[in-house]
Amino acid sequence: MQILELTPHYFRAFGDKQTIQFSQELTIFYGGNGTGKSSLAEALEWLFYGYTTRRRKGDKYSKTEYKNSYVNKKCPKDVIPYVEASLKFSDGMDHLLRREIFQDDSGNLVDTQSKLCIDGKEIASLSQVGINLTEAHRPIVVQHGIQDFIHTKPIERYRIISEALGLAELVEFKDVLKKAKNQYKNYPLPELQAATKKANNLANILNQLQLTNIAKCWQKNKYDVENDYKEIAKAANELIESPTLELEQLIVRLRAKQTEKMSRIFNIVPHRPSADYDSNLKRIESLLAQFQESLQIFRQASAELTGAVASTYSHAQILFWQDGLTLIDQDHPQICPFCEQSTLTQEHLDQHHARIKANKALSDARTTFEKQIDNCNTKITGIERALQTSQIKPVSSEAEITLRHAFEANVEDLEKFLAANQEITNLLQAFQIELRSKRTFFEKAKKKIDNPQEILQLAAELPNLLDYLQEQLIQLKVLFPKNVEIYVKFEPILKRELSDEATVAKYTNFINLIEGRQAVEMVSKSKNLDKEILACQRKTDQYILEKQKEILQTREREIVEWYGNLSPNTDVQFSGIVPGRNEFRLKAEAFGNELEAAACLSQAQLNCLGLSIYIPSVIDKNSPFNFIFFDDPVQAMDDDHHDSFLETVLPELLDNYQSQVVVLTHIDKTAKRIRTLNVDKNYYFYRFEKLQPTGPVIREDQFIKDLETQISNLSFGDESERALAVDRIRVLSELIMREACLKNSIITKPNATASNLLKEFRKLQDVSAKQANKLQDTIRWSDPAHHTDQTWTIPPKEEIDTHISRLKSFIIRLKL
Amino acid sequence: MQQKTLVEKFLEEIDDPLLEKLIKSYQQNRAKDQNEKVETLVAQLQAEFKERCHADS
Repeated sequence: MQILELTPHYFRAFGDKQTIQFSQELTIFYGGNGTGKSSLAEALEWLFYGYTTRRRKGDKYSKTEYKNSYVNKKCPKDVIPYVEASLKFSDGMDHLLRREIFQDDSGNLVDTQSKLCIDGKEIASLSQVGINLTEAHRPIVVQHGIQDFIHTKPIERYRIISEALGLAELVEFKDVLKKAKNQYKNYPLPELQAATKKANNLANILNQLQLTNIAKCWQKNKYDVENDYKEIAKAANELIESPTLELEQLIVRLRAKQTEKMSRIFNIVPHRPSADYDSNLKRIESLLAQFQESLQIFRQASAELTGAVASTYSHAQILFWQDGLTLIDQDHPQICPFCEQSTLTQEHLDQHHARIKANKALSDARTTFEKQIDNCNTKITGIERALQTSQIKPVSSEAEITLRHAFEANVEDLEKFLAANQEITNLLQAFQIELRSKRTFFEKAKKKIDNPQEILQLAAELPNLLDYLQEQLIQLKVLFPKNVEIYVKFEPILKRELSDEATVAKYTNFINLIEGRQAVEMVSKSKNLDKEILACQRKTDQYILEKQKEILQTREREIVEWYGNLSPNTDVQFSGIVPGRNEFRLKAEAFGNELEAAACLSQAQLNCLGLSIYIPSVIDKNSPFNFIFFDDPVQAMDDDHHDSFLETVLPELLDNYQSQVVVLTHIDKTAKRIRTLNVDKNYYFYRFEKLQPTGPVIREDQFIKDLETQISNLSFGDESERALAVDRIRVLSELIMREACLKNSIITKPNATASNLLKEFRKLQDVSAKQANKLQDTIRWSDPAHHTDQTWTIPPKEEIDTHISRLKSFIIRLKL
Repeated sequence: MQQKTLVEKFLEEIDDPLLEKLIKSYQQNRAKDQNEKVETLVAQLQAEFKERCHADS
């Protein structure tokens, strides 16, 4: 397929419809930056694909920024933008292809959708007319595509190269699958979420039931539901002491057992008599004896304290007397230091000393008294602790109901147990109350420290209190062995008939496990599906890798060859592509060493590499296109690479591959050089002169006329300009011969000499021998050999003008 | 005769029912943007999961 005409209508920079004709060989577009060149490339890309790579990339970053960017801002209301092209198909037939921006029912333009027509008939896609469009054969080598290839991450380069190798759709499927898998896993369905939570809880339950092997597997998301549940059923059957029941019957039995056990929950531990009751009772007995001794000491301390308190004086008085005795003048001991009178007799002094001594005795008695109270309390605490270790709790009325329910058939044993429990717990309780009352007594005594009469009264009660405790201890000594005897006989019956919360929990756990099987199965299926998705990803990866290798078997050589054309004679050379799962390694070579191309090739060389990868994919024999459209292909190239592109790559495409070539460039020199090198071709040369609100101003270039004007101007100049004018006359002469031959379908070789061109020129019907001789004269006159001729002198303006006039007449006569 | 795309060839060569379903679903939505394609595949995976859970229940 080749392009004959292209008509953008309010698309991108283009305004009202503007038709551009294309040469079937070479079409050159020159235009400065921002004159609308890329809009032309995008118009063609959109026409075929319905989107542009620029827009597709842009939409990934910001949908709003690129929204409606296909539509020209000056597009009037009710006008539908479109791009139309007249195309020559491979069967030689011409067709009109048109794509319109979609207009919704409200009349709004939706530029992400479009309508495609061929010869006025709407089609869903070009495949309906036998054209299979693939990314690999995309014939428009867009400016930003090459730039992207140069400045990109390995993963992005992987996508770009995959696209060029025809793997774009597969790679996109791989990406879509990866994203879908992540989304599917990260946002699970509510039912799966609930099932996962339940399965996690069940894994904990398995641990509680000592089924740790299964628990470990479940915690690692490894489920073997059938076998795991066989193990669970086995353990549950053991619990209920039944033969092997299937899950359905098992759960019925488990529920019944659970209900039964729940009605018999009774914790026997608090009611069990301590096994070492005997040593405890001995300890209590010993503590009671110690307590008795302490009480005697306490009584003495009480008496001493009472006596001391009776003869006491106030603290202030004692201090007063002590100060007075200290201040006495030893030379005059009879003089009182306070009243300064001779009132202190020896009798007075002895009296004061006796009072102070008595006060000291009171202080000591207080200390002893308090110490003895603490001593007695310590003994009481010791007894309480010893009693605590032999504690037996009474059976509550609620617990008694449970017991009576469980022992309907064994009332006699139960009654014995209950009676023994009641008897001993009552006694223990009474003992404890007694001990508490002793503590209260001593607390009271401490408070009465300044009241001797009350202290004496309390001390009088002590013997009775102790006697009571001793009596109770004797009873305990009798009751404890009796209680132990009854309990030991009754315990096995208790254990058999009763249950506890831990046992009930076991039943509940098994029931939950069996009931949760559906959730476990759901999670297991989900995990299996995850594995299958992973397998799908691996298979896709593997297929892509195989295809990469398969395609690269031939394509790699082609890419290296094209690269060699573009970048010959350099020490660092691109040497090949190594396929990979997420990147393509680009190899380079220098002085026999293998290098990484991305790191070692220059920007110009990477630009060449980009082109080398694109070109073979476009000219691939399976491509439906027979044209290649370059949008500023030499941007990052230096002069040498630039020349290689113009002198080697373009002729190769034009001559060997018979491709229709379109080149857009912003470099005037490049555009002219392409034309000069290809004057023998059927070419069109356009200039994007400027961008106006109505669209780009595109004019066909008048090269010959421009050259003629340039020579005329030079003829007015100084000697160097006139010398240059002579050289230009030679170029113009050769160009006239080439163009005249081309108009008459005579193809001249690009490197044809002037004499060869003249031979062909003489054959033209419109040219007489006389005219050809005149041109021959001009060619000789302007021969570049004069540059080495020492005798040659620069001709005057008049002489130059003669030859200009001669060439002008040829241009007019031959309609060049 | 139209040339087959690599995805179509892949579909022919694989023997994996799940992958087949996913590729077909992807192909049906090839004209849509990538996010929509992802959404469709997520829905396909969810449907597959539900179908499998439903099949044995």
